[in-house]
Amino acid sequence: MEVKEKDIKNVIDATARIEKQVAKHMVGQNNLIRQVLISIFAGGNVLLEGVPGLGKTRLVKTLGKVMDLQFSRIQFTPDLMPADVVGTNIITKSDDKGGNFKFQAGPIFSNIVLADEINRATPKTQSALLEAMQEKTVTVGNTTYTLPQPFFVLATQNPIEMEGTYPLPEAQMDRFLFKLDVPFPSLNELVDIVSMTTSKEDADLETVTTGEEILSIRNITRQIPIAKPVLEYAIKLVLSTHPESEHAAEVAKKYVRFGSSPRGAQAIVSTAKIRAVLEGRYNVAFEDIKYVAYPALRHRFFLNFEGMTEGVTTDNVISEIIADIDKGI
Amino acid sequence: MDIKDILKAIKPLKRRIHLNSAFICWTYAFIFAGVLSLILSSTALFYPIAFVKDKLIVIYAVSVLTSIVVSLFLGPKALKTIQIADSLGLKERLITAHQLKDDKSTVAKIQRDDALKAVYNANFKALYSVKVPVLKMLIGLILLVFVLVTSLIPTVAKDKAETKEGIINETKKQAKKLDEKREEIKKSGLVSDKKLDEINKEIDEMLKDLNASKNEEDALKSLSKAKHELDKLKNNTINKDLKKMSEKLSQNTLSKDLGEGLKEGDSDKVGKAIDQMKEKLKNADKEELKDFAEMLEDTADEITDDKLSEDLTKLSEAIKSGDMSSAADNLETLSTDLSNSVQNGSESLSESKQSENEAIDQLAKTLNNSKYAISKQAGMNLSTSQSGQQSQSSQQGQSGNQAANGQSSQSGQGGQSGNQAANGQSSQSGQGGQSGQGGQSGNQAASGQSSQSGQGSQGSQGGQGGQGGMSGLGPGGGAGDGSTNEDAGYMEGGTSGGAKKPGSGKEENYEAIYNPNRLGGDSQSSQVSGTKNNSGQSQWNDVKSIPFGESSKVPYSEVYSQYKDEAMSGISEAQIPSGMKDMVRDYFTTLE
Repeated sequence: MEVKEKDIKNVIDATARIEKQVAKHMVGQNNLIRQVLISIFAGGNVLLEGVPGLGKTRLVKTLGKVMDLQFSRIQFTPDLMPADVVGTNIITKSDDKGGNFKFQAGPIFSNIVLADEINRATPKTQSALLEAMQEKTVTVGNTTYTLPQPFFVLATQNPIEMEGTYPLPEAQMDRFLFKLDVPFPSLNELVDIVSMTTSKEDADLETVTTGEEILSIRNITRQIPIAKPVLEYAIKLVLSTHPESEHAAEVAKKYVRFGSSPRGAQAIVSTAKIRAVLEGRYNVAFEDIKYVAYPALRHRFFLNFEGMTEGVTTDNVISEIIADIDKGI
Repeated sequence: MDIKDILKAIKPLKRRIHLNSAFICWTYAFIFAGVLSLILSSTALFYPIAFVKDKLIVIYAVSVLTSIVVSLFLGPKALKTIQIADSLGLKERLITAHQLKDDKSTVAKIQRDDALKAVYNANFKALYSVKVPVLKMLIGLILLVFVLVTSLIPTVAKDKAETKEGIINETKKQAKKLDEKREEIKKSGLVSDKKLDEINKEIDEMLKDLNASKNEEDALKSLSKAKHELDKLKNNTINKDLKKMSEKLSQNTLSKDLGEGLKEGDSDKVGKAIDQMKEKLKNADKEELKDFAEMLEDTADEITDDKLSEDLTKLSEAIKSGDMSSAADNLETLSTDLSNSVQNGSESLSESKQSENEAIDQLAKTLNNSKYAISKQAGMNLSTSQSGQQSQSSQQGQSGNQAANGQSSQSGQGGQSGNQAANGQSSQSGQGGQSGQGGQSGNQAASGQSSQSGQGSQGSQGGQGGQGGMSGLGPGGGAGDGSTNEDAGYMEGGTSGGAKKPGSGKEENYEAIYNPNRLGGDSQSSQVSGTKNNSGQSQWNDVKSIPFGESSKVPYSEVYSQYKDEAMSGISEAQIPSGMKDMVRDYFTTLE
């Protein structure tokens, strides 16, 4: 498919339309909305982390409505079973007094799946999402079912109240394209939020895009060129998180236990292309890489004991790595 | 749109980048020149360095010119310009476009268009300013000020350097003059091509040495050497023939005396020797006559003078045929011709050869003038006569009467001749009190009680010819093996007083020379007492041999460098009169 200038403009228009609609239900959080959209256009899953009441679930629900996509919500609890997520085979009676197994699809069979408070489910249940998130398929018994396209999981988790939770294992974390921190709203934003939610009913949302358009956007943005120096910059960024690598940054050597997987580089480049388009460019810039580096990498490498005790965050490490690489340019 | 349009569009930025690079290059060159110049000018405060100001100017000029030339090539490459443009807010549009320059896809084309649009919208003047490195320029200027200040501080070293500069300038000027003189001779056509080539070779070598000379010593040395070489080039065939004859004739017992006579250049002796030869021929046996005839024939073949050659051939034939009366006649003819040849010397040269000699003389005269000019510039009291006229100074020959009252010491390099009357207390003693290089001749009369003693090395190199020589009670005396006046005296057109012909010293007998450690040894001084008048007793001793045994002599080659080193050391330490320096230098140059 040949990309035309018009296609690029359509992407920008679609994004603007979506953001405009979402803004009707969400106050502030523009950056968060932009990053979620980037992730959706890239076909990735998003892990939203923030304290309760910041609008995580509301954002996902709003997006579901705006995009005219099938939306389902799974509230993760400790007693949630995998079958509750993916579905199960049930026996159904037939007319000839016999019975048949029939697959009863779970809530995962949807375009947008909201995995609310994902860290409250047991690892067994959490694992039920792995195949769906990566291969976009679900296997029950001997049968594999393909999930509808586009498909993405938007999970939320609460960084506090960790008691009785099951932190996501590294393998599962790696399946999320972005991990987004939901910031607490500013004073003005909070005023608006309170005003909006207590004075009148929510505004009606319009469906401004479709699943097909999202898939089309995904194809278009993939063709955005990236110059070799920019690509190398992204790769260096990932390699710098590996403490044992020759490219390792000093901060990584000191505070990082495990570096990012190659999925980190893939995530950076694919989302940087979308970000470039959304900025009205036809090429990826260093600033695009830097922009997506935080959400793409912050959950892909893990701090060592020293880093944790010193209160270092993964975002701190990424900042230092970027500064380190910029010096060398 | 393609990448060329983009590259064209970023040319203004490229120029600005180039200009900034050039500024940095120029500034660094300026600082570099300043540092180098400061080192030079500071060094010149303590050490004499010629042409410091010129060198400083050259350093700055070369540095600045080099930096200008280098800066022409410091223009940024396209990729570098693109990278800088991207960093100025074009957000990697250009590097992507550059990478996609051969990509024909729509997205690549759109991207290039976008990049070009971004370039057109960019205000590079505002984004990329041309910066003059003020701080670095200031450093360069401060260094320049220091250089100027240090170069203006007067020091002793600078005075010396100034003198040195004068010498070098004068040397170059003289080199030019010599070159012009050579051209003049060449144009005149007086000199044959062959001779001209030889002269050119010598002059070229001399000019090379002269231009490379770092001080007056080098310059004067090269001039002296050239002059000596030019002298060698002078036509002197008759003398060569006489020399050859002398060598040949000395080998045969019948003509040994004649050979000696020829060697000494004494026409009377030649005549006497031929007379004696007639007698010897009469008494000689056949075998001797045969050998003699063959020797004469060989000699006739070797010499170039036709007349002498013919004489010798005829004589040989007469002896071979046994016709002794004819041989006697031939001997007479030979005697006459030899006497003429000995006496006339160069007069027998052909006109063309004389012209060549004159041309060489002119060059030699120019060399002399150059030497004079250079030594004058160097502040040396050089006695070289500028115009080639004979200059008889104390260094170049003492002639006439010398009266010594009280204590006197005599030294000289020229020939010392004439009468010396010492009355009263006169002492001539010590080491080298009279170390003449020329021949010393004449009569010396000392009235009253006269005592001349000591180990004087009179005429250590020169032959002491004439009558008398030094007399005294002591073992003093000169003569002996040494070079002739011609060699050792090395007079600039001067002759030794009273010595018309070279002394009796044997020419080229350089093999043995006094051991230098025997010279300048201890001796007792003595006084000649009495009243100064022309009467009184006098004692005469003819000293015919050296006062030392053979053991006191060492091969010439072993001591030459030692003599030379000591002499040069003496020159540099100014232990000898300044006027003597040139003579000493010339002397050793001649020996090389």
